[in-house]
Amino acid sequence: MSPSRCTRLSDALASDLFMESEYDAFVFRCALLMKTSKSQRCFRLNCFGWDSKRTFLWTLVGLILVAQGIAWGDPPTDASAIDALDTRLTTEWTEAIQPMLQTHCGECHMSGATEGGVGLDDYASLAKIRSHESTWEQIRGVIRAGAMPPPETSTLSQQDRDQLIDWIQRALHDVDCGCRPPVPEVTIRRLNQFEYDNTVRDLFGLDVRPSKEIGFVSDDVGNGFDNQGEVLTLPPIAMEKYLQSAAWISERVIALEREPFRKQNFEGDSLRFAQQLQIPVYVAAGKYNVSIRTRFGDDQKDSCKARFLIDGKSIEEWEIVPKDETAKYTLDLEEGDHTLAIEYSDDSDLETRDAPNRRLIVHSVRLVGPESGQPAFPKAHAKLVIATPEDRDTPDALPIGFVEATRRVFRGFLPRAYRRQVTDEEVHAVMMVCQKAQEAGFGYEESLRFGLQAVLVAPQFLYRNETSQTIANGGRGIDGFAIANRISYFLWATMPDEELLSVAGTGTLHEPEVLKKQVDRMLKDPRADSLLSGFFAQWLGLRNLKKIDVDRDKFPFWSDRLRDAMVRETEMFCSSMLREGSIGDLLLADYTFVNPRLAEFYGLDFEGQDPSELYRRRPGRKGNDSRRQGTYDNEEKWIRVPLPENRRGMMTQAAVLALTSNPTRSSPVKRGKWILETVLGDPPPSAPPNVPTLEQATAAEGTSLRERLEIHRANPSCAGCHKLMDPIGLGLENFDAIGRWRDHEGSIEIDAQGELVDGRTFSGPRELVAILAERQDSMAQNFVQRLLTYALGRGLQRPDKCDVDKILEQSQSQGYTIRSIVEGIVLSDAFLQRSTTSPIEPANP
Amino acid sequence: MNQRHESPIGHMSPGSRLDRRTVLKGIGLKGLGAAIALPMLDQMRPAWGALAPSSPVRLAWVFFPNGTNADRWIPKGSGSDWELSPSLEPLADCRNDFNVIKGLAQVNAQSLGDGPGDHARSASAFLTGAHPYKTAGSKIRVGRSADQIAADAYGRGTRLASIELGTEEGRDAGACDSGYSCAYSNNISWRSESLPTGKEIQPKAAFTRLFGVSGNTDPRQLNMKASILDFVAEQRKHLVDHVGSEDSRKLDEYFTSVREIEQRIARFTTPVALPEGTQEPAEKPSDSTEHIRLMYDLMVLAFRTDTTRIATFMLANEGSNRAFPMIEVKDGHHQLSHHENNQENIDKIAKIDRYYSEQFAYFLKRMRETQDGDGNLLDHSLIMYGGAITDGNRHDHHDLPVLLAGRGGRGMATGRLVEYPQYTPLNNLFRGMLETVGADGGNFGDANGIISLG
Repeated sequence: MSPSRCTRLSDALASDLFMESEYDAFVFRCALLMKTSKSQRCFRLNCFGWDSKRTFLWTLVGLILVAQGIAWGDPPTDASAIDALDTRLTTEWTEAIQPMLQTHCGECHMSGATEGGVGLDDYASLAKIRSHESTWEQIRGVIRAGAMPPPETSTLSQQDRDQLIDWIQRALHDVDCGCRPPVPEVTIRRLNQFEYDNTVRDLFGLDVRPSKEIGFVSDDVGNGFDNQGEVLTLPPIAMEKYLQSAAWISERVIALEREPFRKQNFEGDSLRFAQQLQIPVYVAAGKYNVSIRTRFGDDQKDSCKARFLIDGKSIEEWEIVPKDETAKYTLDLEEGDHTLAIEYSDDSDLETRDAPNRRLIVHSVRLVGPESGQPAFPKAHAKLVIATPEDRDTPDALPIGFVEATRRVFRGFLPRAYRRQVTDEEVHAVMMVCQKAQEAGFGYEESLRFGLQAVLVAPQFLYRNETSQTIANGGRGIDGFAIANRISYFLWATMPDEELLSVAGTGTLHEPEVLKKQVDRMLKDPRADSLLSGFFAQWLGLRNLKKIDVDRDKFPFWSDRLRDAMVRETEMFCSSMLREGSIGDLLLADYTFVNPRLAEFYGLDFEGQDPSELYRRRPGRKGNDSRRQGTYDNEEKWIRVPLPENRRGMMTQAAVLALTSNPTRSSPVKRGKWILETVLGDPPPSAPPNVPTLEQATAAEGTSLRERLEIHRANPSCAGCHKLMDPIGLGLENFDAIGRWRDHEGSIEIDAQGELVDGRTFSGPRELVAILAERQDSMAQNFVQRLLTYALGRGLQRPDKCDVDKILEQSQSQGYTIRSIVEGIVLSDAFLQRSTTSPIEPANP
Repeated sequence: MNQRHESPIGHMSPGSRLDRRTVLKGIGLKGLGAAIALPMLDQMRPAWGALAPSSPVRLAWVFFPNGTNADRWIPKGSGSDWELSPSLEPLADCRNDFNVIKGLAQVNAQSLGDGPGDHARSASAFLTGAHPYKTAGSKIRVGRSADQIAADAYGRGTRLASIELGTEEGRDAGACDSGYSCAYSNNISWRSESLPTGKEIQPKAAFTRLFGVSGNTDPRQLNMKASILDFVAEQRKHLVDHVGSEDSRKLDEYFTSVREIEQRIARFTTPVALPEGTQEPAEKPSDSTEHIRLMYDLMVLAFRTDTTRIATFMLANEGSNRAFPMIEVKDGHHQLSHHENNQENIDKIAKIDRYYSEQFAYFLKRMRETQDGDGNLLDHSLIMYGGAITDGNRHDHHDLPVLLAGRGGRGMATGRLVEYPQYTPLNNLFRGMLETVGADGGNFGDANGIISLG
């Protein structure tokens, strides 16, 4: 009923009838539907607060509709949408649902009663119910689980129960896609820390993480992800950090002086056998001197060998002795990027070469030059500072001067920084900052630094701002650059690259074939790994693994190294899923990735070595070092391995199992809940307030966890939900709190048999996983919903169901591959369109 | 309608959202309260006549999550005749530096029809007294917090209007609590009803922010900083196509932050003079105890140098499942808080409560040892210590554990156990705290009166 909406509709009608904007196109489409169905199938009468000036326009609408043979009844006076679905739901509510609630729930939840904080009096309309979605999801959950009405006294028949559940489900989620409301509004999104760091990296080609360097305040999480527009707030403290960061970056990007002859010093490292120190450099063409200062270990008597490599090619191998020495080389280098590397390449003493004091210590590496040829600025500088005041366009011309030089620099830079086309005015504003600096007496490069700082705290840089345009079918699309940004931040969590921007420039980026080609290319790019830490880690909750405080006395094997390896395993697995896996593989894959530490943990051979031999005890230390505090041979090496018989897919991966445990013990309830919620998208209702979760209070010493859970389930109000969760979790009881296989817990033998709530039985984790995998459709639906939430940066709303269904349908025909889901999302209306609720403004010129 | 001084409680304002049960309880006890009422406020009157403050008043709020073992936390007795409870024993040395206040409630942390999610509601209602809108992501909304009301009215004279500290990252995965965005569980300070103030969890970054060691005081540089902020303030017109209502709100957030920093830069151009021997904290604290103490140290230093007068500190995020191996509690705090009346778990909760009290005692002692004006820092401070859940197993939000330390620059009597009628809004106490610095919160949140502090 917002006046602006009315104004817009009538304005649109007044101009070019029906096809001017998405809204009238929508009305038009619905009008056609009404014509075909000869009923009030769907017509939104949201706007009856028009002012008198507009009245005639509405009359016009009426006339057109009447002319099309449509009977128009009395317009409703509220803002509710009327379509066939809603009409049906409303009728059912009045005739069946509301009376049923009155009979079975009324005593405690109606007529003023609000037992457990839930009152059902105020729900007079569908809109009201929909606006309290989480409450009604909870209601549906407890009714479905049989936890409510209280089982001891309930007389609700199964048939009525099903009807209730079904009605709530439809009321909350169904939508008539034939006359689907416009896609929901997307709020302007600030770059989160991860995106900010990546964008800075790609904008300047600098390998830096300013958010860590400066210590940004954490981004809040909404809808399960940290990239959601509405919770990406910007309090003053965040602005302070952005200012600090901009200054820090500008000093790293822009060098103050042209150095005719550069000395580049690089920090060294202490290398273990076979390890490499890699130094990326950017140089001008010419002759260079390299000095490498080294020493072999502490208190070593013999020597080792080091190798010097450029771009992977061996240049020289030489002997390193136990005292400080400097090796010098002269090199000819081509202009561009190179990688210098120093490797601990050979050691005569095979027995002790991994001893902690047997290290190749590289104190420093120095690169000096070029002796001849043009001096070079650092790469990032050269890329940005494409003009100086002394430049001349032709040899005879006057120098271009300060103002023109800054114009050229920011004309070139701004479209990349703002990730869209920019206006002259925007460029000019930055030039003014530089000019003020010059007036204050700063030199050219220093002035550019201030200009750069300004750009890096500008809202155009910190937020993703989009230009929309009316598109062919009357919908409201976003322009090519906006699409490029959406895809890029979705798949790469960073700014679009040159290719994507150039395709955007051709105006064809909205075409499905062009989009598909880009998605394909981008998924192959290493930057798509951002989906691992950005999407998968958050979806699965892997970040929480850092927060769990495992009891190290009970689980001595646990260490930070092990934890990091677990996360890495699951990420590598997801990476493989992203490129070549499907929803089914996520659950059932018979392989995983391990390094030697994880191989021992899982009891797997590692490249032919028995797990028990993988950990080498440190020399000079007696005993078994059960804490595995040292490193393994090839700790950094990861290989793909077949899983042991008892494990399949991600549900039996250590990270997931540890994540769903308590510090001192495994938690079947948490595991069951995690699988229902995270994997199947079917969360059990939350425990009602004041009802305790499971603990050992009621049980005597020596009772198994399974028995304790049974005692807990004896309470009928707990039973409903726990019979959903517990059997699943108990099926995974062979895995302890850090995910290691066990046959016993203490003296009690693990019994991993069970029966799911639908009556299917299983014995052991592998059978359980197989049964759960039969629910692939639910899992795919949940996956699409989560990934779409991540892609859009907002919570899904009812109208999004149309897109979700469409994506699922297409993906199903391709075996639910992850790739087909990603593609479906990129091609969806929700992804390619803007909200239609914001007023229409002319696109950016 | 507000009542002050004469009666310890105001009455419920007509618009307050309370469920039936609560209101009834409130009324019942209000009667009781009225019958026994009057002396209570006198307990907080100055021990000696009003003093002209020789030093500015500092306000701080220290929050702990997950409730307590209330039986061992809440002391028994009344007035000056009371016993330190087991969980508060570590504060014995400071017994005469604080009051224990009983009977306060944060009813907007209750579900009020919104179902589960007491942890998210507890943190977000703690300093706001408002009921958070239940949402996982869109349209987060609760209310302004007491510290930010103070910051606006009173914080303008210092380098930073307020500081917000914590020890746990807000960055998290998944839902934080039953359909509530993590913004609710991770923040107690709310700059506006939809904007959490954010908090600093790294001691080193907090130190830099407070004392600006990296800040350049070259006037030419400062001028350029101002020019950059002028530049960004002009950029709104270039933000194409973002004119929806939510967009406007987001952009307002940005431009408001820019303006606040502009004003601050204009006012404060000199570095803070730190006491001799002050050391910058290391990058990463070695353990939780050191982390907490470093944050307390920073508060003392910030107050001592008058860098700010207002601070909040979240000892952990609400619902935190941190374990406490240093006191032999290896289970997660949140997990334990659902103790089911199991004696072992209850004992462990008490151990955690006691641990937090020890850290708080460290802070109070440092405040007391630090000379300030004609007394010490504690003489010129009001530090509220508590949480918005009483017992983690029951998830109740009344009879909250609340301490108020310091004498507020007015020689307020301390060392007392003060009891208010059940369900007296915690916000009434905050109003009293605000009053000491001349800030008027009005009936913010669910306040319905004021507990005047001497």
